[in-house]
Amino acid sequence: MIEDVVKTLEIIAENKDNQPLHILGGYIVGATIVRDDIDELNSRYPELERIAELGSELETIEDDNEYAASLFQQFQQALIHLKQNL
Amino acid sequence: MAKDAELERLKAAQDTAFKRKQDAYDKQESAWKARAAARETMNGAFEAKQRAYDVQQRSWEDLSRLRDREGPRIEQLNRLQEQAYQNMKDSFDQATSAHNNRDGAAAAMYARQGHEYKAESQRHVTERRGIISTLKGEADRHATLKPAFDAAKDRFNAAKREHDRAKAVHERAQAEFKTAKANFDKAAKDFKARLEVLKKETGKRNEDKRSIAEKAGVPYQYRDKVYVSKGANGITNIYFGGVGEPNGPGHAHYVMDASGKVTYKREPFDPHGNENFVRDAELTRRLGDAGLALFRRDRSAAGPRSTQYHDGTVTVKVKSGYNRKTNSIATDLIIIDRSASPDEHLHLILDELDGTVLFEEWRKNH
Repeated sequence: MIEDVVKTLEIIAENKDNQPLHILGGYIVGATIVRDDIDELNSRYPELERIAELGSELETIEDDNEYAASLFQQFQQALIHLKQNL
Repeated sequence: MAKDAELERLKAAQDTAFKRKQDAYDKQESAWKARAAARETMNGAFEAKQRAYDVQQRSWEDLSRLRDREGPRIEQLNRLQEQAYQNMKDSFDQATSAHNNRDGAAAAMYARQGHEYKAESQRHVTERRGIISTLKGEADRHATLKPAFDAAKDRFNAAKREHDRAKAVHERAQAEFKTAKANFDKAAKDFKARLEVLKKETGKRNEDKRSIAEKAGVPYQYRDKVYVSKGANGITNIYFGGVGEPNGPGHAHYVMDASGKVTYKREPFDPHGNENFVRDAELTRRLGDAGLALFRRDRSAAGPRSTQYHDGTVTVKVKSGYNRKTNSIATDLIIIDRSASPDEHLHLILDELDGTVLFEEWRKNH
């Protein structure tokens, strides 16, 4: 369900444990692409696919550089946008 | 030879001119037959007139000869009659004198002489009248020939007028035929000239096509029968070896780019397919660079991620396109094994050009 996905993504976006960004990227992928029902959710919520790919790219950047921060920021904004369109 | 509007126009003009010439020829022939028939009639009438003239002439000559012959005799008879008359008158005068002198014998002798002279005078009159009557009869007979000659002359004149009219019609038809023939000759000349130009152009085109076929490496036996199509992009398509036509069933197909390099070769009756493309490493590299440049300009050009494999346990999700991290065209794979590693996924990135592994890490799902 999209609500479960959004809830997980909100937790990731908060990053209370101050995890490295590429780890968070892995979590985003785990919450989206790894799901069996992700294709159906993507078709209904296009913003979710963008979030998933931001996570996929973020998990490949291991040095938490400025670009990774920019990707994470884009993820947070996309999440806000997704929630507005639910 | 390709269709040519000007040639077709000239052919139509030639056909029209030919028909006009034929019509004019038929008209001329018809007019000639009418003229020849009129001439025959006129000649017949002329001969009839001549025969009538000859008859009349011979009659006139006969009459003239008769007149010439009998004229002096008439004059002689006139003189003899006059003499006999005078003698008769003298004899009767002498008979009267003798009677007055009571010479009965002399009076009777002179009276008898007077009667003899009278009889002689009457014989001369009778003969002269007979001759004149004969001459008149001959003149009357001659006069009856003239109407026949006049009628023959009238018929000849009428036939001549008809002949002259037919002759004028024929001469007009002849002039029209000459004009039509001149027009046809010109139309035929124009058509032939255009045909020659087109033949030369066709020959030049055939030579060009042969040259293109030779350049593309078309087998020798097909070079005179190829179909060449040039695109605006400089691509040249060459077809040959088809059934019936160069591009007929089973045709071969060569493609030559603007630089003259053959990029596709399919021989006659070979199957269609990628195997026919002539691989060019340089071209591949240039296309790769061009594609990469396009992906760099537009990241969204990357395709969506799709499930490439799923057997209920293992799922492989793939996305292909520009990868910003590696700055290359890459295949991005997320591999999930719910049985062996349910809390993780493997993220693998491969370079599409050479298959190099650009990234390979297991990541926690949560």
